[in-house]
Amino acid sequence: MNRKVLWAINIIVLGLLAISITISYRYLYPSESIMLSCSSELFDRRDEAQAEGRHYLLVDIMAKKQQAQINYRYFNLDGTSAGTIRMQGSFLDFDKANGRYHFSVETKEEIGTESAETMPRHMQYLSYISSFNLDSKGMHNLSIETLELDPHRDYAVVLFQPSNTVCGCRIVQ
Amino acid sequence: MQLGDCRFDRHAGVLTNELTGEEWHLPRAELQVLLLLLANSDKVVAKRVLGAGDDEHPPLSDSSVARAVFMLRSFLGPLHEHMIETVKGKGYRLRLDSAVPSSVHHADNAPAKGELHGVGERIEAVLAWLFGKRHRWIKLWIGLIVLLLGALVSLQLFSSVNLEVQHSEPYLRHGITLESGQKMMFISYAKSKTNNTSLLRLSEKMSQAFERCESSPWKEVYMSLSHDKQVFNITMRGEKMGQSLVRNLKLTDYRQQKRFISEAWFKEVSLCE
Repeated sequence: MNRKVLWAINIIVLGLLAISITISYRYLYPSESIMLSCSSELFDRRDEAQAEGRHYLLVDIMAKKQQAQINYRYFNLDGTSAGTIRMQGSFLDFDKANGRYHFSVETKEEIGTESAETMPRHMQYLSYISSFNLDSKGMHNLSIETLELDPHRDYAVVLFQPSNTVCGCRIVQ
Repeated sequence: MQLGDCRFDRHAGVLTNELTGEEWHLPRAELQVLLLLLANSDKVVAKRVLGAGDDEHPPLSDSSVARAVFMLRSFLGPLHEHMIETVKGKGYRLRLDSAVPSSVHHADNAPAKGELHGVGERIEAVLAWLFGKRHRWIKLWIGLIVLLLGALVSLQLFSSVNLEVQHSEPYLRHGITLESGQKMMFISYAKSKTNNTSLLRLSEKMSQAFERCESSPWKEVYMSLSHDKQVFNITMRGEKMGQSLVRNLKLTDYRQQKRFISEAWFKEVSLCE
């Protein structure tokens, strides 16, 4: 057996090792991603004299690799748009031990916030909190923890922090 | 002539390992021992014969002969070192037909023909056959990588198998039974363990409202108050016709005296359906 053959065997062995390391790493550390769609009925509780505000809210959460996007779309009962808040930022990490996804929102865009009176209260609340965090800290950090997951039926009950909000969401991916 | 993986040039007195290309100009003792063993192949040759002197050279001591045999075996390698057998109390024997180790040089407790001494030697023999003596650093390197990889994979598999997700503990969990016998669970999440009077009151009101239902598609009701207690979140989860049902209700109350839910609201949202 000459040296070329020996070197070829060495290189093949090393190549197989490199491939197995890559496969093991991908198996052990799969890139986490999340895509949720959550719909809610909103109720603005007011004094008896005032009419109660009712809206719908659709929240779409997308996180892949290091990008994160959270869209809050508000609708009136007749289906017309009542406003939108688009948040963009980073998907920081996935805490396996707690089943928690961490995000950092760096920019946001608000549509339909011209008149505070017509805005759904929930939107006012979210707009105020996120603006406060972005103005004071330069970021709006939040996490999503899976409380209950049924991948066969494509739904999850999640807990948003720091707002302490429970929500049932459809798993898109 | 061929000796295992080595070629022996008797005129030049050179033993060449054909795997590694290593050449060894045999010193006098090794050359004499090898030539005599070859001349008497498959026969036992006494140490004194192997170390016999001639006109030009003095005789070799027994230890010089033993050392020469050791050096020759060492060069032949683990796979072929057993070509030179030790016959205890008599001398040495060269077996030319043993391309693979045929017997053991320790005559007393010799294992069966064709056996290797153990797993270690077998591995060593295979590695020597694969890489040759000159590439020990490569063997070491590959060994370290394999060990490291094995340790890494084992550690990660062990930790992933034993990893239990630690979810946030609910602040309160209680159940009710409806008239139909159906059980419902009410699970409340709070930001802290103190100052949760409002959440407790709301949770109680919700369970009272559901108790009036004869039956309901909902099995679990998750509740939470936002950190500033302005938004009350309700998530109901259940099943209907084998399909999963989820309903989210979010009530925002900016009033000083927050009530969030009322009898009228319960009717409005048709909780039982």
